[in-house]
Amino acid sequence: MDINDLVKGCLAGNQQHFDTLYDTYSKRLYHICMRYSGDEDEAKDILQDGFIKVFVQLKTFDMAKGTFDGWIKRIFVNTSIDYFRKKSHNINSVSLENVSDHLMHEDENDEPVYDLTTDQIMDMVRELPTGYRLVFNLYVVEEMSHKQIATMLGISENTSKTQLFKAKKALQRKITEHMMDCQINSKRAI
Amino acid sequence: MKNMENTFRDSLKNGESSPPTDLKSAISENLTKAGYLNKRNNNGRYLLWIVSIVAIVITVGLVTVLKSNDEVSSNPYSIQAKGSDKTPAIIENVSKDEPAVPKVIANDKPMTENTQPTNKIIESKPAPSISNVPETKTNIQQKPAIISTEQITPTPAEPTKTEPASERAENLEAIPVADLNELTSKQNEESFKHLDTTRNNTNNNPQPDIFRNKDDHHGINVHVSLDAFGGPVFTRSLYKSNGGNYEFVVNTLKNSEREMTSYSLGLWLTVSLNNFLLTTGANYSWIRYSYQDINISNLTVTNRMEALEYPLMIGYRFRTGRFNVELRTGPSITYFPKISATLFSPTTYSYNYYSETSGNSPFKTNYLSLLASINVSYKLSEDFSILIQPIGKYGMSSIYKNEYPINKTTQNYNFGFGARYQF
Repeated sequence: MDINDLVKGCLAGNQQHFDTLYDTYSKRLYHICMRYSGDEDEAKDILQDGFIKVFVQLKTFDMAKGTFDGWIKRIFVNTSIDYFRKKSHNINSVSLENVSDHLMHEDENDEPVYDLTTDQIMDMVRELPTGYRLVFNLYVVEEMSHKQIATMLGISENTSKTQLFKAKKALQRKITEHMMDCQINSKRAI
Repeated sequence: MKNMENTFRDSLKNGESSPPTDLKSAISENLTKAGYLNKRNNNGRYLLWIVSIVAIVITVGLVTVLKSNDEVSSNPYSIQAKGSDKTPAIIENVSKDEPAVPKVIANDKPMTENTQPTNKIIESKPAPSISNVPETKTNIQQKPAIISTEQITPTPAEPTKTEPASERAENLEAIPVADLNELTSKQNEESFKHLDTTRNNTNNNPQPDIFRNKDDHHGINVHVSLDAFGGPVFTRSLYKSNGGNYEFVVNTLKNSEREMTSYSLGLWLTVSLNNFLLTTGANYSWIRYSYQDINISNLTVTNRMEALEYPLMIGYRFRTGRFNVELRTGPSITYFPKISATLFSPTTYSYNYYSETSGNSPFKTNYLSLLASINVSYKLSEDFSILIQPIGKYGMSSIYKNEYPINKTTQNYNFGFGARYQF
């Protein structure tokens, strides 16, 4: 179905068009919800809120300004951020001590290439504290700048950098632990 | 850490995860509750379409069947086998040299009290002895006298059967020649008794049925006709406060709205019982009006609404020669399949855009109107007429929901031009 027809049908409240919209996008959108949320219940809530927002804002969608895929994805990212704002998750509650730029840029290009499955990566991200997780997702996956993240989350640019640095360190620790577990398991197997 | 970023980005950016299966229905339900999905309305709309189409098809089918029966039984020249169902087959094979009697009576010699063309022909050509006639098709065709007495019997039609010549000859042989002459004269008498009746019934109009007006049948005549028309629509809005102090808003709306010419197409199906009419069908209208706010802002908008209307009307037909004048009136229910309207909110004094009738929209899903029409048609042929049809539509209720502080009723004047097909 053409996107224009899909949008028109949804605007008209057509159930069939909603079904098509949901079937086409729900997997990709739920994946977004999953990586921003700490558990499955939060992901479900975000998906529901996201679809309501899509329908509320559907009439503002302008094909000339961008693709529908990009537009709907942005709505779900924003919904995820709003969800944690509403839940009073203080993004600043995690340790906000500034880390020097020197430390943040150390070993930037020396990391090995990881051999991890998507599920393992997803689990590691979801285990991060909320603040780390939001900044990591926005910076690494959404490829936003620290300035944009700061504006979006209502924090300073420096805080955004610190959160990202700490998120990476936490992930690195998890990866190391994972690799050690793998080594131990393989030795046991031998 | 660039490698780590890339690994995570590549894995997470375009990933997919299947949501729990029950989530879809929960979201759908929430959207319905919030007014963004109107499952029931759509189902209702589809149902309405299906019911309309089925009703039209059944009506057309029934009336066509009834009408075809009526036409056959009312035809005074209908051919039927009486006494022997073999006769019609012989009539079909009448040679060109001796044309079928009904044609002679109908076209060449109009019926009068003194006219007895068939009798004379029959008497001057007594039937030859069948026993002496060889069983050939040609010879069988040369026995019109016997046949013609049966041809004009105006009893209800039965399916015409064609049968082999040999079989027909056998049946004829079964009747003695002497009896044939007696039978012939008896049949002729009966036949002409009927012709007298026929003449009386048709006011000495011997025209075969095909030359008559379809409406000229006697007794109860049921006909179906389909009118297709379209034309401009002029709309007038009437605003009224629905309680509360909204006089300022009502005056603003009255002064700001400007009517624009709209358009409408209609397809009406009429079942007529003699001159009484029952009409239903559908009208689709594209209604436009401009809104120029001179009091509060300089906003100028053109609001568009598409209205689908189902009328149910009764009427009466007056006939003068080729002209028919039909007066109809009845209620109609109007739906808005499509809305694109910016409305001035009487409570917030702001402008809101609406594109639907559900949710927060002030527009009703449907509203009731009263229609009245004058249809003047001119018969071009038996089946086709051209027509002109002014229609007045008076809103019986507001197009806004009852809880909305302003009432808006509309009056539409439609001038339709189109054609009629009579089945």
